[in-house]
Amino acid sequence: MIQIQSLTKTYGRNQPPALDSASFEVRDGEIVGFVGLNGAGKTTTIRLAVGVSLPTSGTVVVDGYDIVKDKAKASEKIGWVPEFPNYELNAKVKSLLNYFAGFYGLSGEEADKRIKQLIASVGLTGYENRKLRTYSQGMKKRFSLAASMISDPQNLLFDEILNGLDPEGIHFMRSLMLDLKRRNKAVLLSSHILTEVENIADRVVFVHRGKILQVVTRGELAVFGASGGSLKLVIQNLNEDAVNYLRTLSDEVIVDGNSVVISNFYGDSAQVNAELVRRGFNVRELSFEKSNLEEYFFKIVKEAG
Amino acid sequence: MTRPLLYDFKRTLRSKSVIVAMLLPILISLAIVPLSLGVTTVSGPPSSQALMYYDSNGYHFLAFSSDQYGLGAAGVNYQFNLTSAQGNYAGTGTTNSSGFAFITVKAPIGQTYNGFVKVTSSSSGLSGQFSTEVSLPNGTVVQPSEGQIVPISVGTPIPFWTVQDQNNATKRDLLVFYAGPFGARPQSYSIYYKVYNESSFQTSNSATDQGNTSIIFRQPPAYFNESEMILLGTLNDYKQIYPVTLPSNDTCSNVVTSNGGSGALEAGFPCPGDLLIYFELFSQNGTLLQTQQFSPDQFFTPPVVVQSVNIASSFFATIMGIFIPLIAIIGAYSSYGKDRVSGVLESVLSRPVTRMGLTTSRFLSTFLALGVAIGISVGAIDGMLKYFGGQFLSAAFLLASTGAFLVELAAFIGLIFLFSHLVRSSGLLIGIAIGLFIIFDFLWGVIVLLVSVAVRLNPGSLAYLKASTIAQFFNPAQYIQLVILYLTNTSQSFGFQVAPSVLGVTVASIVVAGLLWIALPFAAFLYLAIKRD
Repeated sequence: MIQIQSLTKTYGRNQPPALDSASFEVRDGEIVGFVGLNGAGKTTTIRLAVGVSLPTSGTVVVDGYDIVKDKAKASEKIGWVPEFPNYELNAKVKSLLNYFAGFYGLSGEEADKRIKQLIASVGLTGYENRKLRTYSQGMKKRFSLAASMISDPQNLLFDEILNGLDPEGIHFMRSLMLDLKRRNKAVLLSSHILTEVENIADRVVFVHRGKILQVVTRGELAVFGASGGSLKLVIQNLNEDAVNYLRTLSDEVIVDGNSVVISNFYGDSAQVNAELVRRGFNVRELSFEKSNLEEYFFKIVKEAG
Repeated sequence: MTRPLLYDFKRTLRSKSVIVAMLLPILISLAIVPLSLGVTTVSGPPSSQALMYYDSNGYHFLAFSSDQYGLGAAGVNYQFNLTSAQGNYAGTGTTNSSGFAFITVKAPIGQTYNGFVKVTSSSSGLSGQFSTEVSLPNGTVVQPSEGQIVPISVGTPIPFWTVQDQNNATKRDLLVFYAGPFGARPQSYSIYYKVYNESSFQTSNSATDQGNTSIIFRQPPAYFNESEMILLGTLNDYKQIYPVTLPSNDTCSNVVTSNGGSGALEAGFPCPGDLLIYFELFSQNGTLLQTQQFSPDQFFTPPVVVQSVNIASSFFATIMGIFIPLIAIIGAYSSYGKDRVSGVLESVLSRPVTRMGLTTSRFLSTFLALGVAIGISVGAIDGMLKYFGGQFLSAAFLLASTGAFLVELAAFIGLIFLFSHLVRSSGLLIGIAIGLFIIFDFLWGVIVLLVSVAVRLNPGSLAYLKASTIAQFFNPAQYIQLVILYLTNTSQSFGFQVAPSVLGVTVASIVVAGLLWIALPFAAFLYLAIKRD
């Protein structure tokens, strides 16, 4: 578990804080989405959390260890995949992983075994003796992933790792994160691809201009979806009475033959269905498309100003 | 942490730029050392001597050539010419693998010849003159008897002379070259020696050592009896080498030499009031064959050591003085600076390691790797001095020089590590590194001169010499020069010849400066590494 408490980072005296008293946590067995505009403070937060940057104030506690005071112990429990993998390019992949393994106290044999397994799991088998310089961006990301998991850490921080990935890559990452969740790992996923975050995150942390705006659970997102979305209906005996009723639900009702689309719908679709049936209408189809995370994100960003 | 430390160590040592920077001084020393030694002829031409006797077949010569250790030198050509009113006669020969050549000149016996010997080897040429007559100590000149051995000097006195001890750089041994009647191999000949105090003998004459210092020479007796002497060993071959143990504290070090400095007199000049060593060779029946006296300094401080140290001092202070900072800068940049400014270091810092642990590990691995590189360079240079000059540097000189290099290394690594925390781009860091190198290695003298002029110090004055020496304490690239100044114990600039201590160069000041140069850049770097992103 990662506990972030009142974390603040200021880069210059005359500059606003890159991160301002941020507090949230990533619990074991959950995937937390971390969303925000460019420059919102996502990467700063992650860099502070993994200990490569020093906080101006506040704390990051990883499984009980402060990342500043107990750096080595805290880092043992964290894996980090940065947005832009930046490694020693002249190193051979296997020897670099071996180098990293040394920090975790893995024996040579253990390290070899683990490295072989990791390289296979990220699909780099056959390329392990090549220099990192020869890798494509995608391969570097896979390497970075392997490097982050060399000690099978309890907590993983993924910073925009979905950027630039092809559909297969995204699928791979999604499966991996879900698998980590199943293994009770704590995962923080920072991403601009909000649909992916929405699909897999148990909670979403919204950050804007260095401040945490909101932390929303999946359930709360669902409620938001229930109270704001598009309701599509196909009513066999649609008439003026039915339309009038439906117009009471939203200002945006579009009728096309027997089909009706109600935008900005904030009600309960089941209740609408029950009411129409009670009024004697034959509802052949009813579907609700909830507002996605993107809409919600823009909504709260707009509110934040 | 052992594996990461080892990885960093190997990575630094394998870095192409470090390898190149390490090889350059070796390659340069390969060019310079043999050249320097060639000019100063440290290894020198083979020592060459000959013995002569005659029989009914003519005059026979046994020649011997050796290297500085007294080991036989093969391939040395000897040409003997005997000239008399009746005619000219010649004979030639080349030394074998043992250094011996046996040459006969078929000249009629019973005449007195003027002899001329010419010795040529691949590296040198020598010649000498001799007579087939023999001058006796009482001044009479007689024809030797048939088969009697007559030594012929070809630049080196025989039958005794000193050669370099193979195992002790500061010691010389006694080489004896002689033959039995008719050129037979000597059997059970005895070599005796006696150490005596010259002042115990009568003053016989005086001489001036090249105009400066008057030295009183005292004449020892013509020879001692065997009973008065100590047996050094027996001679059972044409040539044998004997280690000589001498009384200590008698190396003429307190004698003023011709150039006004203090040190040993030229070889052959006995130390007034000091001890002398008298050697005598006896046949198996006790007949005195040859005598010769040596001063003790002829068994110490062989010239080759002085030459090697001079070359090494000059080479270390100049060439290595340039390359050590270069090696340190390149190594520090490639092992830490580059990773730091490019952000690669973060991929390591995110591992279970503290900032202090990581930075100290990188510093140590870089220092150790480059220290090994420098050790290899110094070792290679020392090996070359041995190969071309026949002499390793003394352990003290080698240790002190290597220590100075390590101080320079630590200082420059610390500085580059430090600057990598003050700048954010590789280009700027490289620029600073080049700037440091140029300022410390090339512009320092100009800076000191300008500052001295600004504070109205007269360049060329003793005060300026002091100031420029003190300025060396503030330049890690010149630390080796301070150490060498101390080791060689002389400073000769602008006509001054002053002791290093006068300039502030003492063991204490050198040690303190060294420790500060190691500690300060490292401490400043460590502070930034731990306290700042």
